[in-house]
Amino acid sequence: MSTPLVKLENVNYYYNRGKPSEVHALKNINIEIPRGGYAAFFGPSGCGKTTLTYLIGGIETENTDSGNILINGRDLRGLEKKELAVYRQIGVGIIFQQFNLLPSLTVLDNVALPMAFLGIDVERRKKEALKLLDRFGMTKYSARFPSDLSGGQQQRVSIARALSNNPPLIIADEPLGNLDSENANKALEFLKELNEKDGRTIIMVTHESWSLRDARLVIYLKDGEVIRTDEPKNKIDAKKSLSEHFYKQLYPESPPENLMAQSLSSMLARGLSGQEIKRFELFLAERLKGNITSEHFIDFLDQPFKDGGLGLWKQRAIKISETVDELAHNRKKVEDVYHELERNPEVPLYEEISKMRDWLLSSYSGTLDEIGRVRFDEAVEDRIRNVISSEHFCRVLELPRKDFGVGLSMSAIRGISERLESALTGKKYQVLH
Amino acid sequence: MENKKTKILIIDDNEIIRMMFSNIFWLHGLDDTYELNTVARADEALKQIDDPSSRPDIIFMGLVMPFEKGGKVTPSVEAGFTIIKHIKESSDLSRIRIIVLSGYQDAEFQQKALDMGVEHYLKKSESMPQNILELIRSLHQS
Repeated sequence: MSTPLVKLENVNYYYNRGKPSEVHALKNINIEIPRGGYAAFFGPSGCGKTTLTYLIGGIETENTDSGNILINGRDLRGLEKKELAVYRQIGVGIIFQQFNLLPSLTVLDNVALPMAFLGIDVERRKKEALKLLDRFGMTKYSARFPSDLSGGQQQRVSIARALSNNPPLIIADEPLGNLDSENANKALEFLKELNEKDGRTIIMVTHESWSLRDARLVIYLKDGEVIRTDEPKNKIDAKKSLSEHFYKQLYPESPPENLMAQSLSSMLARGLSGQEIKRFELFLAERLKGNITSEHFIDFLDQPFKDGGLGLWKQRAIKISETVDELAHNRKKVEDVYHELERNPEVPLYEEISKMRDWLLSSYSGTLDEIGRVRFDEAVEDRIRNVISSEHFCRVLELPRKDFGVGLSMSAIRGISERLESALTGKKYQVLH
Repeated sequence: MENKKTKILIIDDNEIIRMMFSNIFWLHGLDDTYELNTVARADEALKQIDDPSSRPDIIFMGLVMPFEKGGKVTPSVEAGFTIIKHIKESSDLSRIRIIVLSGYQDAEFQQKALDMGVEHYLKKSESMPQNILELIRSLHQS
């Protein structure tokens, strides 16, 4: 068997070791990525995925506490400083999330810069840099400065720069983080091309499940540990093979009713004072626990503040009570979804989600057509599986149709997101009734 | 049957160039096909070339390197030409393929090297890692 391009053996990494602020950022990491492979490090923020790529990229390598970081069989930890510097220049190209272009250099000079390290003369550097810019359709911007470019354009420059010394390994750290969906798709196409056409080994760091579509090895990380490794056989697998570990970690501490009451109160009790909201949360939690009936709850909402109530109009009190009941009912559906997922993480959720759709959309006055519904359901599914954040969920709903979004208004999205997040919050909560 | 690895010797007094070569071989997985050695000085190079057990099949070398003359060591183009002459004038050694990777773009040196039997004369300042990689692969095929 041929030597893997990247192999980590029992790697441990600490931040601030020996200090009170010590963090064990990587715990006993063991992974292998074959030459020509396309791997994704997938996990929520803070799981250690970026630290891991820094070690592989020769950036934080010297500070590794234990273990071996083998690149084509050779341990980076055994390299001298100078050798490591050469490795960083010709061994690996990193595409940073923030692009990291130098603002004072033109696009052309940014791409040409890494070649200067190898003593290549300026004419040759420019010629090579132009070739790379041409490959990504950026030639006409060569004399511009990074600040003149859009995010998508800056990223293409950043990809060109990563290739400038022809590294066999490309690391893309959250390459889609700052892009709209059209440019994000393009970025994925470029990575795929670098992998399939150039034969380069790709490591992509991501927290977005849809970006896993081309990965042939998915390494799931959580709290500095590899919790699972998958080799998806096709694209659909890659997207669907999301571990139960992930939806289980949605709000792990979840002191359920109170947490839910908090998030609900922001949705239901807009315009109340801080003191009123506190009181509202208290009663809401009681209602959610089933300790008071809906009649009691309405009474509480209706009574004047001085009498221990909230002083709302009766009609508003009834409406809020109904919303809470609806929500509890839909929570039950969310619970069912989770139970189903626990039995079978790969289970499709179309049906469950279509059942929730009307409820989620109840504050939306328009109607969704077929495509809109499909996209909407997909976004809800990704959110339930916790493969996208609530912010990203809102972004998908907001994006125009032509950019593969749903194209909803901000006000409609707010209502939808609040409903969904409330239903997801503190999911251990026992449903009333 | 195990194939014998092709031996490549890098002769250059510039540490970065030596590291670049060894990195290219290591990172692009050429270590399986080639056995790479690097030396910084002409006398070390000659030792390896003359010893049949370490004798290279292919040499990449600079021209201007430290050279001892009259008890004084100075950088001189003679360092490179001495090695080329030593190889190409010996029936045991003349089959060794030589590629010069020079920081000097003097046409006279280039012509002289090619006349002496050097296969390629590259300019350091124009040789990107990918060019070196391609050349190594093409040498292997020819």
